[in-house]
Amino acid sequence: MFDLKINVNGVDYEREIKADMRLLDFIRNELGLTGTKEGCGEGECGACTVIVDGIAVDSCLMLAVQCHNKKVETIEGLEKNGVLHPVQQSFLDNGAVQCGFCIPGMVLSAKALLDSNSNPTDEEIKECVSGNLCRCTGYDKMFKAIKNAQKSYSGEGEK
Amino acid sequence: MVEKKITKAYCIKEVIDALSENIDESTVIAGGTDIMIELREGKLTHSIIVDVSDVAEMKGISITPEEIRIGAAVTFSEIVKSKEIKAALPGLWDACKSVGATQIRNMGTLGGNTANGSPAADSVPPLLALGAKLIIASSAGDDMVKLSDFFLGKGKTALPKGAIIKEFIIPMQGKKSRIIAFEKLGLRNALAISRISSAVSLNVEGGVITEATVASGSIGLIPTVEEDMSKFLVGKAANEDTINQAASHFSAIVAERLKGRSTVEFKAEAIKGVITKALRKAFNQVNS
Repeated sequence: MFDLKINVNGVDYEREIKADMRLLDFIRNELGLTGTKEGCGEGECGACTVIVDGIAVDSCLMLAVQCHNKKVETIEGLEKNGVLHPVQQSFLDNGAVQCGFCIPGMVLSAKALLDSNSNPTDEEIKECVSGNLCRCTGYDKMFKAIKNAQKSYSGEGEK
Repeated sequence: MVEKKITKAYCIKEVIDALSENIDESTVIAGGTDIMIELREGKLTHSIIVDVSDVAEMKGISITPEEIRIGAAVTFSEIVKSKEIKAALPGLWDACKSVGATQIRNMGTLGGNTANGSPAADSVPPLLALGAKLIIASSAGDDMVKLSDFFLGKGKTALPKGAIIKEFIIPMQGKKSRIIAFEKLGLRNALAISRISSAVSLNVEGGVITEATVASGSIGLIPTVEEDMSKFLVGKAANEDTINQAASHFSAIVAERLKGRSTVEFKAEAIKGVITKALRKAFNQVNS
């Protein structure tokens, strides 16, 4: 067992967990945050994407212990006081959501990009979501949504 | 089932101590992009896991005229973010940029890519072409090993139990940058395992290739230094005619090596395009 200390969506947690518990399972099962999805379990689809210390990662490929003393953001952490994050709002405004399964991962990948680079090129936008697969939309409206989010972006981590 | 134990290490000594606890039962996790799949499939039988993703001595990139040193726990994204590496070793930069997709590159490490021993590892052909060496740390101290001696078979490397890859050393031959090009053929633009890849490192003087090392991925059981192709290029002009000859020559090598395998028709043909693109990129780097 490992005595894990981790910050998720701004809240500190301390839990005793098994050594081989995936970050994904910690988030979903231990904390009950089921917005993060398991699409493939092998890093191919990006549905499990979360942000760790500002960096987008596949939570199905990380052990929870690897996030000891780190900050994790999941999709649940984006809405603040009833107000959606600009990326979330833009996805809705631009009709970029169909079944919704890939969306948490897609939104977090986009957020991770805009947090570190508030003026990305079209190529950089495509690159940032190249690890998130969507079977419904054909990606076009998602691309537009991210471009539009960029316009109204204040950037939480922006300097 | 034996419960697994994990150590999150922050320095090399912690890593070696944790591995030495039981060298038969211990293994290392860095980015996790290979090993977590083994864990999920129940193939990770080790009961001691050591997380090296935050080990200080394994992070960091240092550049001198003699050599570039890259820590084994440096991620592909950290290499892609390095303007210095992009300028000094463009083919290695290209290879790291081509791995998986953003999330995979944010986690996956140079050390893991080598230690996993896959013939399809993207960062390995350029490192082989550059004549890279490894520093391997263990309870007996540090050892330097040529990368070209490291791969023993599919998934098998010369990494001893209880040891870890600490650092990569790339000789710079007193130059600010080396001519190094990489080309990979995958089944799609991202999240693609390489079907074939080629890396070419050259020295060119007066338009003539004076030194060449070609390395390949996914042509055979291990990432391979292509001695025959390397010798073929030396003494030839750095021009399109040489590229055409090289493409045919490499195709013949691949056809022979993979004879009898189902992939031979595809790979013997596709290698022509891959080596053509790699050589064009390399020639473009001359005097640039």
